[in-house]
Amino acid sequence: MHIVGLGAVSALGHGIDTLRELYNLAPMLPGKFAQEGALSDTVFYQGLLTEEQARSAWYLANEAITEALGKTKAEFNNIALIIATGAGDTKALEITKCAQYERYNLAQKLATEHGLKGLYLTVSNACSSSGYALPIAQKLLAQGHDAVVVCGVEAKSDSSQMAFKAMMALDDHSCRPFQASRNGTVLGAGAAALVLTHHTHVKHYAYIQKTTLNCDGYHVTAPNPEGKTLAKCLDHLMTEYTVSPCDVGLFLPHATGTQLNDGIEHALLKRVFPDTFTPDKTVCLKQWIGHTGGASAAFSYLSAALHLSGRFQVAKTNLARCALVNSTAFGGHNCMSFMTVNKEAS
Amino acid sequence: MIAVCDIAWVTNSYIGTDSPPFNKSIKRDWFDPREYLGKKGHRYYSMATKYVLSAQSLLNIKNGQQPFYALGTSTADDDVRCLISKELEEGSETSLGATYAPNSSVNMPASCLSIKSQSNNSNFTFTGINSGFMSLWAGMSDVGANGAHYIVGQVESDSKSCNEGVILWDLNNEYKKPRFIIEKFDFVNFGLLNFELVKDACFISLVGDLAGLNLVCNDFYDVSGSAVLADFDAFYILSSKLSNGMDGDFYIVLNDNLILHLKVKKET
Repeated sequence: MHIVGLGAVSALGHGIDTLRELYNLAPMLPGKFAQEGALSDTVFYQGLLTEEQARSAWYLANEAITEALGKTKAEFNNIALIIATGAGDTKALEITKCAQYERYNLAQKLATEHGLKGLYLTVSNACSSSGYALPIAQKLLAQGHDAVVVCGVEAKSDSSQMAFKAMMALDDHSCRPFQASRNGTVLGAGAAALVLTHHTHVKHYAYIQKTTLNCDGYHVTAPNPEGKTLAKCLDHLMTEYTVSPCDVGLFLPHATGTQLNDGIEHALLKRVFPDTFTPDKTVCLKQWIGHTGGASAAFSYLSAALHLSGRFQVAKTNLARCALVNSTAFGGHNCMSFMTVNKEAS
Repeated sequence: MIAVCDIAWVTNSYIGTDSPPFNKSIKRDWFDPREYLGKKGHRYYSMATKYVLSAQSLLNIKNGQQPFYALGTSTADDDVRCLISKELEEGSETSLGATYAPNSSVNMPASCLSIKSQSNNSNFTFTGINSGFMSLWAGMSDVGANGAHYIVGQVESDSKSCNEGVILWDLNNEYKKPRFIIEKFDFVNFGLLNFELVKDACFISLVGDLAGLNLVCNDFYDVSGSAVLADFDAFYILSSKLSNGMDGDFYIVLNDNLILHLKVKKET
């Protein structure tokens, strides 16, 4: 699938340009989640977003989709929309106290807002929602849609923050992926949108070659400690899309900052890509924008597309022509994708 | 072609795999998950997860089979999130423990199905309007293209309602005693018609009846005001029509522009 449109809003601010030369930025420090109450001892990546913006999944997704569609919208007749989110618009539950159905009703509202005439649906596979949305987008394109907008979004949410706190999954300092001192993740708010198509008449950023999915079937929150299913997911990907490990020049791992996830992921990537999985070729987004849940994989695809297209670098390396994106989630979901500069390249 | 081998129901009005009554007149006032999951096997799960695990136990899934799953829901995480919101609002100490907290993830029911069957194949959770139909569409697409074995369905957990529960369909491409076969499915685009679904749901249903079509329309802002239940009802209606032996062409109105068309053949 060609990526022909990109849009983002995160703790770094509005627009895809806020991700420019990320590797030159020092890791960010999150702020307090709340000034008082039971969550005041936890931290959160809100950055440049106002409280109202961070709390509204509608606002975040609408901003990202508006930027992504931009001029490309006019090129397509029949556009589908996939919202990828773990918790939906929690503002409906926690602030405006709307009917419960409103929380997962973003796709319908946004499709109407943007005049999209295709199918709309919502994928909610926790933190790998955006990755799981890609095979669904592929089906929609195969079944007659001209283009599909995939928008990953996660808002600031009391209930999500409290649930992560109860599971002792939060670091009380910052998100430190792959560092020995890491002690959990830190949540963030944001949305990232991709416009995907099979048509070649539109200028594109990058190409998603293949995505593979599987499930640990092991535990509701903990990954299989041996990482066997994640390894199978990668093996399957490398079988489906033949590529030499040396050709993979950019890595966007899930890298949440938790002991178990990072340990398994790092060991696997180091084993399969011993020469190329190096810090200058690796982008751990969560140290700047936090863990954006259902949007986190979409941010990885977006960053890889910007880098591969030469629009600007997100990692130090400037030679990458093939990128690996990984996302995992509660429930044991694994998702891996290969992206290249264009359809033919590897 | 896609074989539908079984449909399992665990709702407050019907539990089983036979054809349920259309009028839902047989009410069960209670559902005891211990009947299906054992005395300890149900602990720490949300109500939605208890429903789906119980329903899966009614399906004839053999040891070693690793189904794919696609489940629709808009309420599976409501219990936990409402509890947290209430406690934060009241400023009371949180009662949420580490073992119950994962139920705040709306994908837990589908993931627990994978864990229970030790399946390493992917499982999807769809939310929002038509989530049950989206799970059906995703499952049919994969079974049709890859011959996968899929369990699809919808689960809703709304303690304020008397109509909640789960419906699961067992889809595969093995034709050993299927209940019915889906010969074809595709999207029909309304194109320029572009009516307003919310306003016109009743009108569409009426036209469908007059034209003699098997038309399923999500009247998602019904008189009770519960869009979730209307959504679940639409999936229930389709499932019960098929389960009661109706076949032919079915038209499911998905949104202002699209209809999902199923061509179904009853197996005798």
